[in-house]
Amino acid sequence: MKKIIIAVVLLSLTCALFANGGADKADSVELRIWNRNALMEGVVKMFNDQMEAEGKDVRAVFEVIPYDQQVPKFMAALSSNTAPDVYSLDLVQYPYFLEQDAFAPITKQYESLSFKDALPQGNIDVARKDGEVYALPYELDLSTLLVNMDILREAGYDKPPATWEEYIEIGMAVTKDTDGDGNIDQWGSHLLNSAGGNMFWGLPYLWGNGGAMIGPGEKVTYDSKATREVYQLWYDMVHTYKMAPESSIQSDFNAYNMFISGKLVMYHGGNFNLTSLRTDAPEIDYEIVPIPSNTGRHYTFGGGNLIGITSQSKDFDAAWSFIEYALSEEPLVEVYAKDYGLLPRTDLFDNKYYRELPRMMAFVDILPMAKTPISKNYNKIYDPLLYYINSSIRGELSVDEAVTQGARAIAEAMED
Amino acid sequence: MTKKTGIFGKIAFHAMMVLLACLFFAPLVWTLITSLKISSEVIAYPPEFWPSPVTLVQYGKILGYQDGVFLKFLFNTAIMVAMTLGLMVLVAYPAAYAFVFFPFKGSKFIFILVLAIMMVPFQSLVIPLYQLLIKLRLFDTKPGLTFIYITYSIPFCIFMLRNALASIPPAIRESALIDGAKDSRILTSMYFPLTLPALSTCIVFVFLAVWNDFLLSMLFASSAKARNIQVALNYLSVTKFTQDWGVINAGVVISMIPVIIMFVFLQKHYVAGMTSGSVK
Amino acid sequence: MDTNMRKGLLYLTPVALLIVIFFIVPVISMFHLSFLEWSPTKANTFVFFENYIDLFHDSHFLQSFGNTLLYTVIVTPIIFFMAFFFALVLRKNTGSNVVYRVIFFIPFTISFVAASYVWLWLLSDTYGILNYVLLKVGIVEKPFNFFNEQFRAMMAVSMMIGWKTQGFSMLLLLSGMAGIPNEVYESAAIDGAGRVRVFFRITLPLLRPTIVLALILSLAGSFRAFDQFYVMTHGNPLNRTMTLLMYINRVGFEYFEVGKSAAASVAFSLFLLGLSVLQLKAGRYGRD
Repeated sequence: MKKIIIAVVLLSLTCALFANGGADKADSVELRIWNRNALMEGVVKMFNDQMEAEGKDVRAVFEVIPYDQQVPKFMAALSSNTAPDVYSLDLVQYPYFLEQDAFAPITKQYESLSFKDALPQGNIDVARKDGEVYALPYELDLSTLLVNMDILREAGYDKPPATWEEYIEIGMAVTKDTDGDGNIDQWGSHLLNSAGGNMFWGLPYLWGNGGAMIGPGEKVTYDSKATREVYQLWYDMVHTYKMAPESSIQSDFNAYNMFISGKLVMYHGGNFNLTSLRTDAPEIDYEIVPIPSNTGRHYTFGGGNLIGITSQSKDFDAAWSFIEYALSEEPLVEVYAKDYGLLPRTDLFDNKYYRELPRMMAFVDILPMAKTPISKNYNKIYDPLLYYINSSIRGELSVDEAVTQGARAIAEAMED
Repeated sequence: MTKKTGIFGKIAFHAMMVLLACLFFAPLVWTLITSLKISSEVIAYPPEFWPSPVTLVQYGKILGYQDGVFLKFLFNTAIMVAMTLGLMVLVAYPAAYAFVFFPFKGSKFIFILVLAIMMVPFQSLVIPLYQLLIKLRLFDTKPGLTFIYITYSIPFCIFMLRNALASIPPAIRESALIDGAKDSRILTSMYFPLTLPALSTCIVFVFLAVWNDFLLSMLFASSAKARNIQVALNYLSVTKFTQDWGVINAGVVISMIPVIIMFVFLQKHYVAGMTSGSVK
Repeated sequence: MDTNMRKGLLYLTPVALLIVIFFIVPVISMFHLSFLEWSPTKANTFVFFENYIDLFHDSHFLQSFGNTLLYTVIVTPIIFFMAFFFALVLRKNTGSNVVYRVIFFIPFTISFVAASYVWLWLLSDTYGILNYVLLKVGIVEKPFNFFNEQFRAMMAVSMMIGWKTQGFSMLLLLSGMAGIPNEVYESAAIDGAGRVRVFFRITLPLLRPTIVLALILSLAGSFRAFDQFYVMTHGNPLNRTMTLLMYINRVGFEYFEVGKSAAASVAFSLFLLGLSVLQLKAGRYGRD
């Protein structure tokens, strides 16, 4: 008898205990900050110190959100009215959440920033709606090609490829069976085999060839000659030039391992690889170049996070003071540049940490090439994109069929 | 089938079984070996069979990742296993006792309702459960997950415990009642020890269900506060576009050790319980 | 109210609470959600059967259903024959057999996620030891990609699942075999029946209820397949290994079409319920 009462009491108690996440204190402001990047914690600490020094009663609390949970977690919070004050979310997700009125406009505040022109405009465009700006660039991820120069020089090339022609020539020259067992164990390049990979590294091929997936007003402009040529290139890389392995499901993940063990010469990577390459393969001399282009104009996928104030924030002014601080020189340099993160402000690139790692400077040239697709149905494009690219590479559909059907499928996915 | 097998037959039989057992364990052994290699050796090809040097560096990496977040995940899992086991005993025993000794009009219906949970598994209810947890403010919390674990593993436990209690001669309870003992006392001090084998089966069942859960933890826990070890394997090993197989294999080994130890300790009861309970 | 009822209800309160909150409410809410268009920030709108119409026009839903069926067809016999083999050779209660049983059961205790990683690592076409062995022995000429075709990927996952889960079916079958009275065999021996004859005339027919139960349980399990495909194939190639549960999760938690996902859950639940009814029938059949 007692046991059951205890059990019931326990059950309801635990329910009640965890139901309230803790009541707010009346006078002090508590800001909740979310980011998928754990580095933000350092910024939050510095902000709190600053607030204390200024005698303001504002405290920020940080929570790191796992990369794959940044949307589900936010969804759950929004629908229970417990969204954080400030969220730094993957930029491609913004159009959907702007549609859901999840963020508060910060146009006036943005216009008054002294360094507003140093922020990459393409990234801001993602968070524009009806003439208002809703979020600002914070962490940047740019897609590039990392080229193993040791192997290139061995094969008689001293410059990484810039055009498709050079890309193919070098790719074929360095693809080899080094140990003579009849199987190729050093590949020129590789294809992307995840949906995200085909967006992040695949789209710059298309843009550099004069095409686009989504035009203004979310119009699908994928069914074009430019797309066909890109599909043909990828098909040929495997079947005609034999400079890339046939894709396997883990290839995107394996590509990095292959690159650091010298089995892959030209690797689709980005600024986020630089820190790990320092420890994983310090001996490899590699160069960072943009994705090869046929037209002479190179592009990179301007990915990363935008930081914004959610519409459920209780204290807009305090939240903005956090964003303003987070974008200032001290936290950006002392937290992000120190970890070789790519800074959202080009005027801060000349800092003591980047000078230690000259390769970071390659991104000064690459950053202006950034472009980002904008769609509130971004997540739904993933599946058809991967499907039709793979169908074409596997030879199950001709390039022509794959592009036509793929464009139609993407348009359908974006309809609702 | 009644014929006697000769000595050669016996040797052949054992040779075959040992060979099969080796084959069965080979994947696990290869994972263990890989986890003891340095990174460059992990992805070396052709693969080196024996690690040289034998190193724990992969374990260090996974435990040190993001200030020990992997340990946090392990800890979360252990807490949730403990909470679910505790609740299971507190909730399933009285229920099983009631089903056996307090039959009333409608108790059969409740029993069928309990068994119905086994027929509509939680996997098909993830969407409404997600909404429910959000409404109860239990999303991304350990108690939230625990409640779901216990709800969906308790039917089996009640079923097992009910059978175990029913097989005890009712005369024991009757004489105790005459001596003036209360039901709660009879349950805790007399019946509880007699049902330990069935309880072991339930413990193994619940332990495996909670420790090995991936889907619920992935969907209903979105931070280090409540995520479990299985999600940690997936999350830590697949960082953005790189996959570190040394760390994955080390994580897999760490995640397997508790369940295998637990099982080896309780296997006798579990095997007996499963074989007697599930067919009847 | 009599004493039994009062006491009984008291003892059943905790479990009843759990069931109402975490089972009955979600079941009702699943039906409710399947008629709604959901939004995280705005009011939900009632859309009648739109989600269901949408669902049955979605080729991915039908495809994932087909994939799940195919997987079930492949994996069920693999599990069953492995389990049946082990149960048959280990049916006598000798000391060594008990040890063998435990050994062959141990993979069952490992999680699907861990087992998937173990096998993914084994089967990798770049670093996998299995491919290395196959190359050395000369069975393949170049590394075999286990995952780039639907059938291959299904087979690879099914082998892993067979390895991991057969132990459970083995236990079931062992208990079924233990339930066959020894006298039956003895009288067969007196009649001079041979081993094969005894197996087909006695063991198999008497074991039928257990066999049906083991098959239905593994059937139900394979219909709920998620973890193994999530880790090993991610639905690739070309969504041809995307299971029903993966579809529900993608629509619900990636596209956030909660209503449509709930509609798919309703269809999925009804299907599983049908399987359970079969299971009950099989159980009753065993008793007769």
